[in-house]
Amino acid sequence: MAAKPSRFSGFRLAPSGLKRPTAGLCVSSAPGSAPSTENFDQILEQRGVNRRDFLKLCAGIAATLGLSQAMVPQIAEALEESVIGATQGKLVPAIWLELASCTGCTESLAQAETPDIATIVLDMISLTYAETLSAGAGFSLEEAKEQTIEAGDYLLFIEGALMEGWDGNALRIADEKGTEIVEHAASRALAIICVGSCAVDGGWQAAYPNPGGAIGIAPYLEKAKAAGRIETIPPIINVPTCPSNPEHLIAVLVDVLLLSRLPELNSLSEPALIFGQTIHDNCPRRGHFENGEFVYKFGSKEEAQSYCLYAMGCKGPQTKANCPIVRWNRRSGWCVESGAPCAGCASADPTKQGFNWVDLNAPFLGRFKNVGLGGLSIDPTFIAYGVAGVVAVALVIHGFGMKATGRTKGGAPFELERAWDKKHPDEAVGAAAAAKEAARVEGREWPSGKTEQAQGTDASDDATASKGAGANSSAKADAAGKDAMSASATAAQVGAVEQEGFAVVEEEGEPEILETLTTPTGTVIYEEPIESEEGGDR
Amino acid sequence: MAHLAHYREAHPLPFVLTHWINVIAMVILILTGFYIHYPPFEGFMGVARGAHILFGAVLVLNMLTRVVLAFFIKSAPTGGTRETAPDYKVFLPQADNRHQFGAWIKYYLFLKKDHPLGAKYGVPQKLAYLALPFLILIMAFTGLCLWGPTMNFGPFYGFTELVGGLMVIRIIHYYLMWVFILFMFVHVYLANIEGLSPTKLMFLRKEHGGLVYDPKVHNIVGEDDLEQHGHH
Repeated sequence: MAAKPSRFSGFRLAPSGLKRPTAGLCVSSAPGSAPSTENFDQILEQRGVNRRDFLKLCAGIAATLGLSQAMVPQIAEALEESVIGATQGKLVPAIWLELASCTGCTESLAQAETPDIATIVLDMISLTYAETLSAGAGFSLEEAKEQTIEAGDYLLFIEGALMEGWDGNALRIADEKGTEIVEHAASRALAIICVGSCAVDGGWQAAYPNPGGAIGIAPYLEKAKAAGRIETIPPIINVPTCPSNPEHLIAVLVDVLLLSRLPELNSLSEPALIFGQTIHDNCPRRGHFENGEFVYKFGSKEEAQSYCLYAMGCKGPQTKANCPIVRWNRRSGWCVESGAPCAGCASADPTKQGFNWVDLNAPFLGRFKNVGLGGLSIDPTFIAYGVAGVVAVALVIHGFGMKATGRTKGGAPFELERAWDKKHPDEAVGAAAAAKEAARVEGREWPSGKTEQAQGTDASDDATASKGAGANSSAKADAAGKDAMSASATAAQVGAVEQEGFAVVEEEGEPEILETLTTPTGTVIYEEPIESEEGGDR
Repeated sequence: MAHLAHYREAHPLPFVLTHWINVIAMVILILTGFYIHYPPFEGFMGVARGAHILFGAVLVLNMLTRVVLAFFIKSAPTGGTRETAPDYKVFLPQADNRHQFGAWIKYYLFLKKDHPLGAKYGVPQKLAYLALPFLILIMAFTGLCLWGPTMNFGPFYGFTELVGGLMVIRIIHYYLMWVFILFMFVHVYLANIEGLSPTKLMFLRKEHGGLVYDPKVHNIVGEDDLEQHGHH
């Protein structure tokens, strides 16, 4: 999974941005940083959180980011310095655009009914515009957004899909096309964080047949850049899942704002550590999977025993996200833990149209996605069994044909000569070639009377050709067919025929005729004493 | 007696063994693959996955062994002869096959009454066998794209992203399995429809008399009834 450091090049916090946390392993509550800690602890207290909970959050963030626990003090210090009112830390402005969405991601992130330690981290940013969360509304709020964009260096959060349909009119906000809003807002952003799978690949809105032309943010901006409507695309961090997990967002924010870096991204611009392992690999029901203990029906005894949901179409084995570790709703549970098979919501792929996560995983209770065939949506297994059935029936019918034509007892009689060779005697590999070689050895002209022989297509003509060409010295049989056979035998006695592209590897020399028999059809039969690899064991 | 004599030189012992291993590995892979795709009964997943991975490796190693041995072992270039040639030449299209593709297709479709002359393998047969090593490699590659311990390794990860995700890889892997199944349908059918002698030779090394083919003249030159005129 290749990180994309190039995306990070040019990524700098604003000159007045957050101070990079000082290095060092000392805990931040040590003497020396007392004033800010006091202030910060007051804020924690106001929110009903003790310092121990706070440090546990920092440890969780370190784990999510893949950092060593030695980084916990550094993260704690960075958080303390950045939280509003704790120090002179200045907040990074942020715009939260809500496009075609169900507001589920906002709900997921803003569900802090009671004071929540995660909201402290969200206090790192100054959210100047968010349709759902902002207290203001209407013109004044749009004005605030405009001023933020003008000032530049803000974080742009985008929730929901962009709609290109009807020339961009499928989605209008504040009398402006969604496409134009995004292009404008992206122009001066520090970074774009696509929150939830809809912003990543279009999500539900982009599912077949996608009449509104829903598209993810990254692919849309690529198109806008190719069309010359925007000059550059700021770094994009895709944070899929449906809805987005607050823990994932916090981890990304800590990376971007406090550690002044982009998280390590995979080829889909997702944080590699969050979306690097399959859900299956970390699933608490994995033991049941290995034991072969499955739920086949909801409401069954197996379901009550929390058996593996694989047979119910769980997409855990092919979906990469750390859901089983981070869990949801303040770590109280997640889909599989609450009894639902994984729907694969994290498998959003912004790089390809037509591989929308919903299309890729529906039906959610089936093991395969359906494949589209001319507007039909068919289970791949149905097609496979259908084709196999047709082949099996065809073979059975063919078998009756073989029986009817008497080929089942050793096949039909062999052709005397290859059909192609008959028409091309001078290039032939069969009897004609042998005759040609015989002619060469005997110094005769080949082909003799080629023009009339080449026209011959029926058996007697060809046999005549063989006779005339080179078999005359040895063939004594009367019938033309026998003649052709004798021609081959003769050639075999004359010597090895050197063929282009294939050489029989064995000692040079003429095969010795041991016995000569004649079959009822008059074919000359002979045996060759050829050395056999396993000749001695019989 | 219209078929060629079946001599052991057509299938030297090492190739009989690799054929046996192919049969066993493919059957186990297909059965466990069906189970892994959808487990119809309980209690077998751990064994099925272990066997699937093990025999996947066996199939690949067996294929590589077979290909390498083809350069060191000689086999009969056609039925009906005890002469031998380097096996890789026998496996590739050879002079005996030249211009015979149409004839074979016509024969199979009952448009041609007499049996086409050929080499040890007819033209369609030879093309199918040549495709198999590549199919096995693609199977192994897509299998490793799906296997947890290898799915994030560069080439596998890159290919998965290229085709659009693990679901797509699964469907490719599944359909390729059906290619193997259909191959086996046709292979078993064609090997036995004109008599069981080819199967007895391949699996049991039992020889059978028939017409004698001379690879030097690329044609049938006689007849060898092993039982009546037992030689050697």
